[in-house]
Amino acid sequence: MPFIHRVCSNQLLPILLLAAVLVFVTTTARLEKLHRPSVQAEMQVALPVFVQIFLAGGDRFLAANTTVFRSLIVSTDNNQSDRYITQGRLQSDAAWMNPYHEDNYYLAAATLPWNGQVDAAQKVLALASNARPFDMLPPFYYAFNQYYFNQDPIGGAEWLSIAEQHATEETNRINLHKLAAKWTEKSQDRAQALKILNIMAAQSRYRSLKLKILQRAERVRHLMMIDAAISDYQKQFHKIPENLSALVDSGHLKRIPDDPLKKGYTIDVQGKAQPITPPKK
Amino acid sequence: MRAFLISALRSGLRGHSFHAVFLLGLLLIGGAYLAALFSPRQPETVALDVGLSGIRFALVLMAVFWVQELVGKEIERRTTIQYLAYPIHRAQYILGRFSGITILLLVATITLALLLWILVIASSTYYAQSHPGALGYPFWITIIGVWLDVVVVAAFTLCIAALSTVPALPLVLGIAFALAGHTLGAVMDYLARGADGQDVLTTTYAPMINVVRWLVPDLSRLDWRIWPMYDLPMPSGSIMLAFSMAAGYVTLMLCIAVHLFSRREFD
Repeated sequence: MPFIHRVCSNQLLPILLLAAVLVFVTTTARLEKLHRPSVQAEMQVALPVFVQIFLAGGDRFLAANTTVFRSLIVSTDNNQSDRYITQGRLQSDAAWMNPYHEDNYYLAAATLPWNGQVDAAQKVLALASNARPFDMLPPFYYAFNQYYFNQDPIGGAEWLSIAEQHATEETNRINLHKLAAKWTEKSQDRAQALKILNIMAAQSRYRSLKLKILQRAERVRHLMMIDAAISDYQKQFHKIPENLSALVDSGHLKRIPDDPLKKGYTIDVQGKAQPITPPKK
Repeated sequence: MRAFLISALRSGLRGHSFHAVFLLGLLLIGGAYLAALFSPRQPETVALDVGLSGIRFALVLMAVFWVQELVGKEIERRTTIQYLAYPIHRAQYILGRFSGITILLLVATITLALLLWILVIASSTYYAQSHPGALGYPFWITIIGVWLDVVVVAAFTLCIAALSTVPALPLVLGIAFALAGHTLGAVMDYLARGADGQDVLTTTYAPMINVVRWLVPDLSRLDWRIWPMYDLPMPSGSIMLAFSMAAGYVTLMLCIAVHLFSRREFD
């Protein structure tokens, strides 16, 4: 205390104040330049469901909300596929804690299957479908994933009939019924995928998520364009082009389209355009 | 008993901790509005969901602090001895105080719920979600559930305060009880569904949980928010059952509190 008294009475206070301001300003300026750990680092950790609920004060609804917000923020700024494994697990946990959560199933449908996490997305959608008998979208998205990603049109058609039961409008019921019939006859359909992505983007109020979905749609559009070029190339040369440059050289493709997700495209052994996927760890 | 009730109401509203916790409640409801901005598809539901979590959290703290201030501290300061010098039964003191705290909690619950209700309506103005909730009587029934939940917590904390000789014990055990009661339902559900195939968890915790569930009530059964959030009525009879469970537990805690307090010797 005598020290504090001395500082205050001996006109040392202004000097101390000045020094404090100096330290604060310099450190703030230096900290600004310092690399900030990415928010995506959060997605490397998925706590056990027990711990998530406990940390939310025993409130499973609050725990579900926290997890969904976390996934929502990161998924709109995430281009690393291994992070989606954690996001898939977190969203599955959130679906268990609150299967009714609309944002959770919507986010799962919009991001997870497009990044290799089809099983996690289907788990979330199945729980939401069961919990929300008034909502036709969870079984509809489940059906689409089954049809497009798992290449199981019959399974997809079965889920479409569940969506039909959930639909409240007669027009939707008729359209779902027609689609189920169509799916039983068709296999992987990119035009259908593009249509669904555009619908999902139109329904999103969250700007960055909407942009992300539109990027996916753009990618599907590119793949359709390359598929058409491959088909023309095959008609002319009776073989699968070796790479995309061959399509440009032969004039079937004006230029190689820029992948909005920066991964690029390739041609698989069946002669179908595919996005380049990083090797699995 | 009436005198103890009225004095509890007066002191309860004057307490600094009440003002602090009430402010926290208001902040949490404000946080619910901000949380709604994060939601791409259901801002109204998210505001309601987060708001109800916030209200429950703030009310648990209020219940525990009120019991601590109106019973725990009075015992500690020996003010209680002066009351007990009058020709009254000790049960009158305990029951009077408990009734006062229950009414205080009801007023706080209704005030916070009304604010949340206005806020949820405000959050639904900028985006019409495809499946709106039910903000009529389902909302207010859910609020009664929240109130019952904190009344149970208050009864348990009162029971601890009646026997405790350590000042902070009711506060700590009251919060621990609320945490255990709220988590219990989720844990039982998780274990019952096979704990994601983790057999070790099931074999280790299931016997323990089987004992705990007879000591601590499953407070998640008093959480009926699915109804106002998704307009899905609760299974028939579940509200009445949960209500009876809470009433039974509160009565049990009060009986124990009265018994312990009647036998307690003050130096």
